[in-house]
Amino acid sequence: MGHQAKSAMQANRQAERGEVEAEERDGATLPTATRDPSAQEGIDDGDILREAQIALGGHPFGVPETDSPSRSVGANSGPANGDAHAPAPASVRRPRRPKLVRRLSTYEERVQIMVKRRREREEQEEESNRGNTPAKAWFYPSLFWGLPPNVHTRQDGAKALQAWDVIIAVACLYQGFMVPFSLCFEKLYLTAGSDANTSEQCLFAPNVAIHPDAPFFISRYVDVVVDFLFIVDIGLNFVSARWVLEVEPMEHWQLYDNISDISKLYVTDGSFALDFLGSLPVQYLNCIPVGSRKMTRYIRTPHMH
Amino acid sequence: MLHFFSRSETLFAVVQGLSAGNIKLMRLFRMIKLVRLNRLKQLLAAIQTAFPKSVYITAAAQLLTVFSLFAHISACLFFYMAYGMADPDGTEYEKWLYFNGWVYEDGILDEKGDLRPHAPGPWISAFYWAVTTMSTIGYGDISPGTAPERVLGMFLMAGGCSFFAWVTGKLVSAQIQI
Repeated sequence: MGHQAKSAMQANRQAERGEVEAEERDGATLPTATRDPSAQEGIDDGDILREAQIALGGHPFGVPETDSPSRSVGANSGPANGDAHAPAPASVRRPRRPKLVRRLSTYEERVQIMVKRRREREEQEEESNRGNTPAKAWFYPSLFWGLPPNVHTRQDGAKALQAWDVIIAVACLYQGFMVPFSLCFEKLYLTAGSDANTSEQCLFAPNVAIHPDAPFFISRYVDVVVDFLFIVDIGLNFVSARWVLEVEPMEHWQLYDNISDISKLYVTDGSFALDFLGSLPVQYLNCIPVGSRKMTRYIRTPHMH
Repeated sequence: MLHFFSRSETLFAVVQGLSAGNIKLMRLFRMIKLVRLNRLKQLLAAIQTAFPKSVYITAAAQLLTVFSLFAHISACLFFYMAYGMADPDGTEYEKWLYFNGWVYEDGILDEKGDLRPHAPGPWISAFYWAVTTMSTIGYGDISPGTAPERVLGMFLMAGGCSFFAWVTGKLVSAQIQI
């Protein structure tokens, strides 16, 4: 969490410098203001580099600008933005490698790898989705605070998602309070003369009327509403786009908005399992009618006295 | 084997044993609902990501939430040890648990198991005990007397220490980030 907050802070710093964060996937018209004209000559992958720097909105680690005087022309692997760990002189030109070696020493190399991967992924997607467009997400969460709003990034239903998150937070707090409380205090608030084990919430069992004086009478109905909210929330998680902080080959936020990608993310990061487990109707387990003649009563409500 | 499981009487007996015989155990399944708090954790993390400069406020909100929920769950379990498991009208062991448990010893419930008038409520007393124990203040005016209470108390003491270490780490990391 701290990790995420840190990177968001760095992104915020970049935004303060007035640089534009553009999603490269959608970006047919990328702004050209940050291009360094002297850097255009003699670079093999200069286009990729420039494009990526614009797409990323600058250096992700908060290092000073690229057009500092120490930066030399045509340095494919030269001193990267004042990076003291790779002080290669500008005159020494490294022999061009046939393949990109996975040694992530400089910022430029990382950016190149990232852009290449992104292009490969997009090509693969295009090939696999040839003829049919993939299903897109229904809702897009808002960007993080401090980042400038981008015309290329959709934000459909961002406000609604925020409101929904508030509702779910309140529901979570309710559950966190009520589940242990009703479990442990129910016996105390039963009226005298009743059976001590009437903890069942058999709202849907036939021919059972819960007495209004039963403990936590209201909360049984609220629980049904909360269960419903959480089931809707599981469904929403399957159709809302996601921002994911990726660290390979460098830190950046990636938007996933294909339904298949979102579903895969939601299932594989384990939150689906937890949400599903929490939505199992275990509180109605005691209401199962069992075969014994003595156990045909579903619920024993406290008697009126 | 298959024949054994295919008999409906066996299935009924299993269900009946689960739901009727061990009804107290069955109720504990409801604690599974607490895994939904994972969603709350995600939301708190999202707030912290969205407002990176207000890290003190978001961290404070997060810590307050976690602390309250932890203390609340411990308080409820503490009351369960002294009253849910015990019974003033039950077996000899249940009676012993009740009359040596904290709710009776501290004058919150009377010898019939009813609330005493003007006494502090059982939830507030249990929560007070949980907070004093977690914060390692430990006044000792409410103290675990029976075995289940002591077991819970030990877990809470260890958990409380870890929690406060975690809080300290959080605050320090927040300061470093600013």
